[in-house]
Amino acid sequence: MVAIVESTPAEDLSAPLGQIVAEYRIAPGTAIAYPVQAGQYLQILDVRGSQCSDFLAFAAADVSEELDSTVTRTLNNLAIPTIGLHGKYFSNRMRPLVEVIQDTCGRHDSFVLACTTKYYEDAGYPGHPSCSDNFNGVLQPYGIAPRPGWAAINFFFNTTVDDSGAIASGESWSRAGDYVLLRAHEDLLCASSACPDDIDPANGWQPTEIHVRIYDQGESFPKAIGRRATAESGLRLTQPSAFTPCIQRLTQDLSDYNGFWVPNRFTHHGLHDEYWALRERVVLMDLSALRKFEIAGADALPLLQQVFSRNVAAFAVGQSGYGCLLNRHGGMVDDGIVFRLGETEFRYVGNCDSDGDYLRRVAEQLGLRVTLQPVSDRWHNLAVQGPESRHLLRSLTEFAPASGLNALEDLGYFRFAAATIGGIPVVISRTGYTGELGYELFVHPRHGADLWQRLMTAGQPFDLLPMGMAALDRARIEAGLLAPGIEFDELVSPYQAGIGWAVAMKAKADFIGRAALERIKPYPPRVAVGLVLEGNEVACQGQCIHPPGDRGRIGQVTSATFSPILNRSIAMAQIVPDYADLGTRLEVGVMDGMKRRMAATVGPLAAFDPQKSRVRI
Amino acid sequence: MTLTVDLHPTSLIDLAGQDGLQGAIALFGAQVNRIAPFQSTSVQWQGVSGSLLRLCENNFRLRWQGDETAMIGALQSAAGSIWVRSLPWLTAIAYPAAILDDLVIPITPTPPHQLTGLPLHCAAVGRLEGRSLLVWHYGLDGQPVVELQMAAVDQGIISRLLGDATHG
Repeated sequence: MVAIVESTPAEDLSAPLGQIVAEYRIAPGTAIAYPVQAGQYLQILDVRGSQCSDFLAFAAADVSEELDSTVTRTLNNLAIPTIGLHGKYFSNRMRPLVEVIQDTCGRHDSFVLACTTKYYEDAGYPGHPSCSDNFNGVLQPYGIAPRPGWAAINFFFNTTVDDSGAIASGESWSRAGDYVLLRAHEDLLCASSACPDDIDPANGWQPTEIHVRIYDQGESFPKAIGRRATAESGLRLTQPSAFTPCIQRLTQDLSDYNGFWVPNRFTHHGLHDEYWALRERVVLMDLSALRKFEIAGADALPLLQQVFSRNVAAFAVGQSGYGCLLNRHGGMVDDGIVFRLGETEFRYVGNCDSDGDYLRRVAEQLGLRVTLQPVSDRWHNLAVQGPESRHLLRSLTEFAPASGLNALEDLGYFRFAAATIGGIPVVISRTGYTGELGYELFVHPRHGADLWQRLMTAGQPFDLLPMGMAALDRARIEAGLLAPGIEFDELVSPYQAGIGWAVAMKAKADFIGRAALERIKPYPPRVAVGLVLEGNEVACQGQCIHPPGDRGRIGQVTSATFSPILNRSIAMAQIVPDYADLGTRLEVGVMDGMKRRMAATVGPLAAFDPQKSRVRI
Repeated sequence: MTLTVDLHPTSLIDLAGQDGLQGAIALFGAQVNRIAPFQSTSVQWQGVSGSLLRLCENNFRLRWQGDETAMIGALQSAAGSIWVRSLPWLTAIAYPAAILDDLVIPITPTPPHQLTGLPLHCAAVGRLEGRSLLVWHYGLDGQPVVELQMAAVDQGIISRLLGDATHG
């Protein structure tokens, strides 16, 4: 079967990703059908932005086998496939037809039909064209019977399902040039629309064109999710770190975290195995997704004194400190670590690309003279964590003479120095995110693979394991360590998040957010606590917390897990201060909070080693 | 004909539920809490040996060399919220681990599982001509074996397919 469609080169779009074998321009409010061969790539582009494109696919050999959105949701356990392990779109026979390779929009629909005549009729628009009718027209030549509504994958269609089950839709998130790139698993007949809906915001009230490019089977495009860090910044595709090629030899289970490919767990090991290696021996983790910025100049210290919660003036050169970037209402812009490299040189390591914009904006507003440079591409980092981490690194580490350090034991908690590890230049920092003795090694990406291999080899006598994000999350919850977007955001103060200790209220007379924090500190709206649950059921993020027997809510769970070392179900929660005393008995509401409750007791935020004795050894 | 390992009179016993991990710990000790899903460990109870495979946080499968009824009763009474049963629709064929590399060639692992070089005390899921298999490498009577668990209705066809595969 061959689609009868004119090929139209695009002049209003960015350059093709590779060798194009066919391309089609879909006029606003129309649809096309077209063939795609096994192994070919199919790029569906939103030419002007905010335009939905519904998509159908049929096995060319037997068009009764078709892409099935319900099967796809079920097999992936996702509302829409995402790039990586769960990226395939399946047929009604549970076979993969296409796989998403790249996606620069990130919001699509798989729940509702392509728009139908009935939708328009009910809204008072009899005779309005619809995607379903347009599909009927273009599929008829292939002997495919018409349907009143097609259960399509609706690319760029912005829908959500809320807690009450209502499906809401709004203007598409896609911008001009946004696209999805799919790879065909077999020969297909595909159909795509440029949705004609102009009676609601779905297409921004103005249907526009969709462009389809088909690329040759010989192309090889990396899997990636495109994100924009800020409204103004360009697209950034998921990238490998310097260590990713080594990691991909040990696991296929990687996902996008903060713009980098990170492992979730390693083949033939897994969460518990990796977790125990951390708690009892030593593990190796790729934390390159952290963002690094260098701040230098005469006013670098005054800037950090303004935006960072700690008293950076008290840091010696070679010392670092954990804290948060604050906004004027006392919210946490991000958490991170400031390293003092010199009298007027600092490095900030946080979570967000937008931290740099924030620092720059504050410097401009305050008229401070600083140079601010994002250096994430120059410093990728490995964490070596666990009680044996010092033994592992001891024989490999040689400190730079200027550091004044002779042995690894001399490197104190939250201290760092230039060194070599097995001859590879690094910055070694005694910091971590696990609640264990550990080190972080910052290295230029060109040495990354070499460093990984050397550590894996040197770690064999210690039974070192690489550790993925699944085990890391369990460890950080046990240690009461915060996750951005979960325990805090810019509306949450450090007093609510549980790091009030990191606010230098006494040492700094003036800093951004101080006035707000002075008001918040005596009685924050909520405070962070740890919970130890009775029974073995694990709580979930967002579950409500109640006083025993009381219908009213006093807070909610932010993170929860089953602690292997404590053999208890634990949680981090944020609750109103009146109930935050250690030992207070509370209940976590399961489901609707009325059918069942789990009894819990308030404890320290860190359920494991709350005194932090292990990291200070 | 490929020589299989006789699994009789051993039995497969599944346990699952909110207290599955605690039930397994109660009978077999804290070592159970150290294995990840699709890893296994050798266990003992009242002097009898078995191998325990973890399937997720609270679900386990036991290859038990002792009395099946006694073990089911012991597990049921070990913790509150669990079920314990021998699944009637599940069956297994075992082979000497020496042929593991040849055996897994025709089996397509389900990502992210990998069958090549499957270590001792590890398992992985895959498909053989569309039929689902769980491949488990563990020790039975001190000998490494590779056990293929499958739906009972698929046993005949899988045996034939593997017989063909292992003999070229």
